[in-house]
Amino acid sequence: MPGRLRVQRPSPTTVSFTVSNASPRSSSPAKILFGIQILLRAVLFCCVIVGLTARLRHLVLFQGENLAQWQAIWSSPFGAHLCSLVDKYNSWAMAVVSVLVIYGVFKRGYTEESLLVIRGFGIQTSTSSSTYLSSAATRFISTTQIQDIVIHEAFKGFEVRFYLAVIVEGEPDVLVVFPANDTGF
Amino acid sequence: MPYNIAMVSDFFFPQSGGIESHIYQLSSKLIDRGHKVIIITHAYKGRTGVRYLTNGLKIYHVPFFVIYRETTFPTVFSFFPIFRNIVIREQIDIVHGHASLSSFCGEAILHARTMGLRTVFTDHSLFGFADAASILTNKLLKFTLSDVDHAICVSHTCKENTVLRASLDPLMVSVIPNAVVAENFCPLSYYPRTHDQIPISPADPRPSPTPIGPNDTITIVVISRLFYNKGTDLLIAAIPRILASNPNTRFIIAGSGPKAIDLEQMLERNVLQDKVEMLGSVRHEEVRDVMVRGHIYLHPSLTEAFGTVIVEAASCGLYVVCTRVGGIPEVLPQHMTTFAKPEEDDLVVATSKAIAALRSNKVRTDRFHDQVKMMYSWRDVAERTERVYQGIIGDISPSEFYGSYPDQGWDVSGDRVRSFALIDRLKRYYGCGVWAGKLFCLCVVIDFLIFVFLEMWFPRANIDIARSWPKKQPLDKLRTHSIRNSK
Amino acid sequence: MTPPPSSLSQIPPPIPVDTHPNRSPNSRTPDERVPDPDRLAPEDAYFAPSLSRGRSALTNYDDTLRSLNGDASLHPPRGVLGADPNRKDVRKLGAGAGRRRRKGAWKKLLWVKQSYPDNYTDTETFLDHLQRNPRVRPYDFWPLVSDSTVIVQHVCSVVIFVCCFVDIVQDRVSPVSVVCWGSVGTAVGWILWDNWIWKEQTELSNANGNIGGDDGSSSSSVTSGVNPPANDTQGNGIKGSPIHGLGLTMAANSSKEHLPHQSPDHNNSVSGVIDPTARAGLNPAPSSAVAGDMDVQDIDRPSLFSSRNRQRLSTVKSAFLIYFSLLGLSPILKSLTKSTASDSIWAMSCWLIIMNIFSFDYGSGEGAGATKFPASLSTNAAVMASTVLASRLPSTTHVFSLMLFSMEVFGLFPIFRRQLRQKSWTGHVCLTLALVVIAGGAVGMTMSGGWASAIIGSFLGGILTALAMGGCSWWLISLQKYKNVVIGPWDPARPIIRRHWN
Repeated sequence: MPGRLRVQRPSPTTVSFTVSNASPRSSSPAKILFGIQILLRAVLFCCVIVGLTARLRHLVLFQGENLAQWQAIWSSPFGAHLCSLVDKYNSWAMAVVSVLVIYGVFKRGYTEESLLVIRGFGIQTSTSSSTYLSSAATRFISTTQIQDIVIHEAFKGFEVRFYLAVIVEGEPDVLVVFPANDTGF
Repeated sequence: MPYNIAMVSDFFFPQSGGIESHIYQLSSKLIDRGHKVIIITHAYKGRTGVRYLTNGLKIYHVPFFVIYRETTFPTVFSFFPIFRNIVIREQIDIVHGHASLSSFCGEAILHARTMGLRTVFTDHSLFGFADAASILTNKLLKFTLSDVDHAICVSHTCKENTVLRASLDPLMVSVIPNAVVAENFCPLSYYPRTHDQIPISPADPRPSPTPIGPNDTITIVVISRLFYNKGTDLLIAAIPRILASNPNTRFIIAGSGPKAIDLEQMLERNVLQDKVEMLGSVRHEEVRDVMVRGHIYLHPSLTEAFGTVIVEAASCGLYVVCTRVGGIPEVLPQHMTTFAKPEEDDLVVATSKAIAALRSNKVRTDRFHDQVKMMYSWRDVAERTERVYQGIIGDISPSEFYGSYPDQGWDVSGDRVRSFALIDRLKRYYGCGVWAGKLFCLCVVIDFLIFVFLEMWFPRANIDIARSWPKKQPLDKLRTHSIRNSK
Repeated sequence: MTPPPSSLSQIPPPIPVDTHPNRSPNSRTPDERVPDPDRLAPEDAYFAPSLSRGRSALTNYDDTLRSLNGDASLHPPRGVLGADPNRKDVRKLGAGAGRRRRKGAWKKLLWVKQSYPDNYTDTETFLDHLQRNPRVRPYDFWPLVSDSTVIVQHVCSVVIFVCCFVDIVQDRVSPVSVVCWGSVGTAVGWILWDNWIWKEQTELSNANGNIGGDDGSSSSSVTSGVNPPANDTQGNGIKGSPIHGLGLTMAANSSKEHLPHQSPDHNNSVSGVIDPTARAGLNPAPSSAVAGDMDVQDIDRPSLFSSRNRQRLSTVKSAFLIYFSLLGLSPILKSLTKSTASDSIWAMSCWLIIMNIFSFDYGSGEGAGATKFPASLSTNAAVMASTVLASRLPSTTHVFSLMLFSMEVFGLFPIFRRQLRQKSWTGHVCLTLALVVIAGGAVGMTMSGGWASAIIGSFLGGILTALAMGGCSWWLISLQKYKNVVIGPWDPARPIIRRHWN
């Protein structure tokens, strides 16, 4: 999927180029869809937590009366039904499934890469991480370190792509600026 | 009118050799004539990706699996996606493959035809018909050439060979020889002349060079890889006899190979180390420096499609003694060469004759350089190749391109302009043989299906168009400009 | 663009060896007779059309060359095959006048700038150096049939051996009687052989005395005449010393094949010298066996007769040696492959015998040794087959008899057959007939037993063999029309080198 380029000028001396392959959320249906997606993720997360708690109800942590009326919860009709449902499955399988679901809940569906050019100082590249849990990986390269910035072509998969690369002094490899997105220079 | 041309071959720099330099020289001269040329080859060690050479010649080193002597593994279809991508992004009109042993070239021609591009194939080598290996090679060549628009051969013998091997229409095969960069192969005492002089005029103002005296040492140069088919056995047998019958003769032998041991054994057995100098392998750019040390170039090869090296030798002002095999007799005029049969006795006789001719100062070797320069130039090769391109694209009408020879016996209304319709292509492939024909058809159909799949999966719209190298103005335009300015 | 399949059938069947004179593998243009196309002035490179127009010799060149070539060699490019006769007419009419009128004659040269397009194809010179089937020797029916007798003989002897084994296993035939008959046959064969050798050696010595003073011109014929006896003495040597096992036999055999190769060399280098010892000295000594044999000969020569007796004595001695060593070895051979299952044994021996038949040296030992496999492969396979089979036999006597018989059949009998074929053709044919009859009879006997079935078997075997020989020969001849060897200037030249410096 080709990425979209967004150019911003936060201040007169800086330019930020952001490339993202997220689908555009400009129209109202797209916004509603995004809202539903958030909701779905939240519900899924809750389900997993509840299911896990039910499975692990015999653990010491959930035995006392410290946090909630556990016994009351488990003996309620909903709780009993949940317990019987959960107990049917192997605990290992449940653990694996819940890890996968949690990963899916926090997975970012797109990558956003940006290049911030600050006049006189240098450039900062940032790549969004794959989940919502960690922050973006950024790197700042000062002007003195930059040897050259080139646009070149390379083989990637079954195609030839253009890429923007910074040649940094003292490093054997070039730094590719938008590694994940097809920017189409 | 300018075309976008993709040269495809397994063989390109950093490997050095005849085909490699042919592709490079032809490409750069075509660029000079205003075309856009890219080269597609496989990745060499330490050389992957996209590169540029002088003059904006763009090289795609496609990462690929190499099996033997820099030939890629023939995986008929795996090259297609990336080839299609390159062809679309470079907006290629003509795919020009080189060398029949290159599987890259054969596959590229197949895919290019599937994509609806015009194709040209250049054959650089000769193959026999006898042994099992050449039968297989010939089948593969037939597969490559069944659907090609035009073929180019480097000599007339090569053309006959290719026509027979691939059952081609002879009129679809052009003969365009190799050439040499004459500036890189000038004699030791050479100063260029101004252009307004006629090359050979009776009143040659140049002083004739110092004549060779009867007792001066004559040096015979041999530059060749020391393989059986390069005639090293003949050389080994002839050297002692030549040295015995011609005093004041020396040999310089450059090149390496499996026969080097035999050669050294011969030298030791006959105690000739002081008369024969073995240099080992030399790089192509050093060849001239070796050549100018001698007077005679001896070329005992057993098979040769063109023999660029003898043209280089003649250009360096050496008198050439060579075997009369393959395309060699077509290459140089009589006054520059002495031909021998590929027999030990005849080679000795011919070399002795050549030595005698030099000693009597009958041969004006000092003129060879200018003459060779007039005979072979890459500019000429590029012009002639361009005409082939015009012919297959249709800028020259078929009747003009293929000519009409009413008195020659065969009809000219054949199916020379190759249509891209799949059914026509299948018809052409089907005739390749009882089993091979069906197999080839299967390959073509699969190729076509892959093409359809690729068009859906990687649509053309998503492929960026590469910007071409900022072009100089074509030379002739420049010239008219300058003329206009001077006026 | 491929030739229509029907065009293949229009190509005439193999052309006998009548190729044109100017392309013996190397010489492209006979410089003496034809004006050389290369003999142009250098100016032609730049002023080609204007200058070469006047050169009538050049335009004639093509015609001259054509007349030299003969039409058989020139084959038109594909697609025109059918129209061949018409085209020739057109060419003859148009060649002289039409082409010259139009432009300067086209030349098959690269260095001349020509006013023809690059894809111009000159009908006259295009593919004129092409040769089809230049070295093909058309086969005749009867010579083929007679040559196939060699194969028949070998196959029959193998069949006889197998039948003997089966009969021994099934207790129909006593192994001792088999080996006795075999030994009697061998002894008779040896006596005959010895007789021939003796005759030839006397002839040789006579010839030696006669031709001693001859000049060098006749030496070549004499040398070739002398060669066979030299081989035979070698063969005798083999027969005399089989103690070292059959491997040595084979080494000598292969050296036999080496000898004729070298004879042309001697013709060139040694003029008028006929003494084989001198030749042996000049040989690059392909194997030590040859040298050894030559030495023996050298010693023998002065006293031919006593040496003959000595040789006989040594033969007898070694025969006894081999007899006793086999006797000693047979218990070991019997138990050697005892533990292997019978199925494996049958399969293995089948393969080994097939290998023996296919890799057997059917050549006469003269001429170029055309066999790709060493002859030892064949014999070794046969001996191994019999060794393997021997383990299925009940007693040591059985094993001993089978081994001895297999040595006689596979080791010694071929030598005798080869010699017989050289000596007398009638004998050869008679032997073939006898073998066929015996083999057929043996098969019949093995299948159902009794003399009646043996007679029917030999009758059927004879008919079947005759049919197979005739049919195969006819088939081979009919396959010849598909033979299409194309030779041209693109083939790597064969260098002609004489190794003086060796």
